Amino acid sequence: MAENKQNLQFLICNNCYGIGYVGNKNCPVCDRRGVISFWENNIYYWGKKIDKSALALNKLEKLLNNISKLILALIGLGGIISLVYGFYLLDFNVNSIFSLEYWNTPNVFLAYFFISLFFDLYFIYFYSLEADKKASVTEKIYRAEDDFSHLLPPPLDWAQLRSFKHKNQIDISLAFDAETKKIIEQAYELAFNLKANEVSAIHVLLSCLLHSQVSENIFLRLGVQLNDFVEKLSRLAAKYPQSDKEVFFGIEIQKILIKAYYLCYNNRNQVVDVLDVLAEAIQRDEKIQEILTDLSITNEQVTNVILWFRIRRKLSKQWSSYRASSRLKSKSGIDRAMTAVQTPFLNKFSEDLTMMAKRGQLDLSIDRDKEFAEIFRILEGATIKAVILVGEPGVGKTAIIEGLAQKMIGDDVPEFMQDKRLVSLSVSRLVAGVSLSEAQERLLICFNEIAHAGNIVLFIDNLQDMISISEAGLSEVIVEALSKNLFTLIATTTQLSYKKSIESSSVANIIKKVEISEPDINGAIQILEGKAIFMESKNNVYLSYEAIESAVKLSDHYIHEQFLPYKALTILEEVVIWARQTKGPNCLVTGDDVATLLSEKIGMPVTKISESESEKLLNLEDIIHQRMIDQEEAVSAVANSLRRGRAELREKNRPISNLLFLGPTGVGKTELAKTIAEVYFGSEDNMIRLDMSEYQAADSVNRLIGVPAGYTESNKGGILTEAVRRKPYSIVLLDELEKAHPDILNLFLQVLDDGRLTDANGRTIDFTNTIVIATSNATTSFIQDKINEGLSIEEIKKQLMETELKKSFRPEFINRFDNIILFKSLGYEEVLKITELMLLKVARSMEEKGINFQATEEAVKEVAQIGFDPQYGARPLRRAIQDHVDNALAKFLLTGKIGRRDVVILDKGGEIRVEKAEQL
Amino acid sequence: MSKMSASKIPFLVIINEIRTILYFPIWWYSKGLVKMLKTTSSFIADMENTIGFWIWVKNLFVPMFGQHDIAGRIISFFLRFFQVAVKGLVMLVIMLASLIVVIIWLILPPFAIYQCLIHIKF
Repeated sequence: MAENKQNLQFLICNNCYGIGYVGNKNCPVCDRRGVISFWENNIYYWGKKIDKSALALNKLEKLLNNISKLILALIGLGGIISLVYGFYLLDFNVNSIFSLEYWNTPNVFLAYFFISLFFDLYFIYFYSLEADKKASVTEKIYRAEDDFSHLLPPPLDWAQLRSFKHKNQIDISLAFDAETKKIIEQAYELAFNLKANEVSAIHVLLSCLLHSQVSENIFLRLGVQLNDFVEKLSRLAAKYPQSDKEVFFGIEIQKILIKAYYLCYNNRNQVVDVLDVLAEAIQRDEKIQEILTDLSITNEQVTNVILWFRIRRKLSKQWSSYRASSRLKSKSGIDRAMTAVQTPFLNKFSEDLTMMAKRGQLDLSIDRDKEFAEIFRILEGATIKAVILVGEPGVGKTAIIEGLAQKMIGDDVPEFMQDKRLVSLSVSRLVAGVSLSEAQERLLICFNEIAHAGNIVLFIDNLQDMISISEAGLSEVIVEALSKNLFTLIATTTQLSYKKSIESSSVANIIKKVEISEPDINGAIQILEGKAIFMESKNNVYLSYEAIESAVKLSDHYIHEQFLPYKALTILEEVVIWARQTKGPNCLVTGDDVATLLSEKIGMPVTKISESESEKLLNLEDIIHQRMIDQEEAVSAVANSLRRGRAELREKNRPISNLLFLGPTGVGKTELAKTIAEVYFGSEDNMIRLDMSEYQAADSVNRLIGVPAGYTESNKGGILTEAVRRKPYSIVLLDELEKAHPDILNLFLQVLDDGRLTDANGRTIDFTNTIVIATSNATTSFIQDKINEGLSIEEIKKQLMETELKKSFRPEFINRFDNIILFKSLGYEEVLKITELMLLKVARSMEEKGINFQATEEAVKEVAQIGFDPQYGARPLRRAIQDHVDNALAKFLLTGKIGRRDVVILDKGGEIRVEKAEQL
Repeated sequence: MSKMSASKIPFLVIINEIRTILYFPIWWYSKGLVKMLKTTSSFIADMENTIGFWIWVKNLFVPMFGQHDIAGRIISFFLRFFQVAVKGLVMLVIMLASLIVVIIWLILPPFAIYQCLIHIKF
């Protein structure tokens, strides 16, 4: 029966049920193969016998081997002692020792020496045999990623197996390292002790956790409590089918092992290790995955942590291999054939990156094989060898160059780059303190030296700097040198600079462009995993996988001005230092640490919702009501949107919430916006307020999004776009929206729908972390009339949408709002409460001066009456308080009639009484 | 699954050990010799890479340190020739030493037997 899963197919022997043995004998049908898989014309099977007696035999053999080695070593040592003792008897007389007579005369010491020599030879043979028992994983043949033609189904008939040559029948157990083999044996013993019917994934996983340090570390990095995890797994293992008979090393385990081998084959690893077996064991069992889901761990996370450990191994291997080959490179910058020339002038204006790599000062680059392949392909094929890496700042252009320097010292580059120097030319040093013509001269001398030296690959970081110094200055020098094919050039620039400076210059015609794109989330995680080891050792802390993942995912989500992996790397570097300072050395940096620091930096909550915060969110209405009086519907609608936003139940490519506040002036629309800014973004200051009555003309669009390049003030940027660029986590309040020109409303269509806006300079400004609130009093009289008629808010809203709002806004614009919130006019009762709140504010400001301020009930009512205007809501109240309270208080304060600790009482008729404090 | 009685295990181990011992002389002149030759040749290649013999041979007529004038070329040629000669000599020594090691590998077992026969007569 052939099985198809994940492209790998198996053939299982029906005669022995995949075990390979029937009773005491090898299965006559499958000849001990049991389960086989088939790819690249080879048959793969697990050939190592694992059962109780085989394990006992194995142990005994190992013991005998160790004893044999010891005896052989002792005999060999005895032989040498015997030989030396024979020489000693001759008083180490050279003439006697080298005389034929000595060697041809029977001698007991020489007899013992020559007998021991046999044992020495046997010792060599013995060691070699052990090494022969190991084999490497078969090498993968290159094919396209979507080509699965090598995964043919295995021969459907076991008789066909015999037609395969011996070398095409591969026993995968030879490619497993000693530790992994031991873990598999221990998994068998575990299954045996648990009286399981057969060895399965769970036994392998348990065995890994109990006996392998690496597996333990993997789960520690995932933030798993090991004891708890092992306990859960043990409980699960007990539920597996049990049997009193012997445990089978059956189909399931063999499939896991073949798949682990296949994983290695695909990753081009030479040896199957614990990580491969662990990865497959987890993949294989759904129940294990359920436990992991319970512990909030996804399959992707496990894969990425395993990859993390692989990257560490790969990096250290690459590091030592490059170190080893770098010993052949000269320290003076001369090639091995000594055809090159010293470059004393160039050295003044440059840095030798290969030399830095030789000294171990540069990092290796991770996950950049595609980019390297493209650079090499272009350079190898082109007559003019010049490439420019174009990518946004922070995507890893410099890291690629550093990786290239490492590859060059390891001779891991095409032949034309081998035994060469990678020299980075510094533009700032070149132009420092000299005129343009002198800089040109310097550059010419440098190029001359480079051409003469013949072993230099030139690197110019930010090529645009050199070109933009003068219109046709240094760039012409570069073009001329490159046209003559004097050297190989690698340069970098950003997308914007390429468009602005390079595309229009003559350099663009001869330099080939290589796009370096921002790595995806997984790529960025891998890059950070590669850097993690250095951060850990430098700061003496441990990074959990969650910390790395959060740094990448959160920075990707919340920081839009920078690019991955740089932005995630800077966050993580900061978090590591912060964690060491706050939690002490040897602490584990978690995802929450990253979120906490990021929240502090951007002033917006991104941490997991804590218990106290969830309580705060659930009581949001009460919190808002501490500042807002009445407007129940509006408050509850806003609270709901904020809760949705914080619980991440919103579309991620739109603003957190788009709200339209409708209602007369002075009823608290702006106040509610301010309250939201304080509650959600931490401060009232995180509000970008635009009075839309200032944008009544069509050309005022330029003020909002900036003036296109070429016009005056084009470098200023737009009022809205610049403000959001600087404060991406804030409220955008659009006051009196109906007064804006319709073209401007069209502009906001994109903001409300896609959460982004492109400014005049072509920069995309991100609005996805803002709350957009538009206010309008266009329909005030309509709302007021309907409320007076006793219509419900829902009914009024419906009518508004159908008729009134359409007069001011287009339907598609209205539809873009998540919620349209109606504010009703304030009555005297509400104004009275607002008066109390406002007087409380006065009291607070007086308290700062050490003065106790109180107002009598009559006084409050009086101020409220003065400040109440049915048409303007609570707006006149501020002036009333200013005129009747603040002014009087100011006079008292200036005349020095009020001292600290005095009680000031506001009485009816605006009278101020002072109750002097007791003298101390 | 096959089952073995515990008493059979030592017997199997002994059989296995005897088989290993008997295979020793065959291995020495077959797989062992191939292994030895491979190790020696990779040692020679590694030494050649370190010394850079071929690099100097290939560049025998290329002037050193970019001295492309006639005098530079002549001096370079003689300097390189001298270097190639020295490096060649070193390579020769290395190759001879490797050859000696291979010869020792081949003659050591019969030589040891011969010596044993002489000395055991005692």
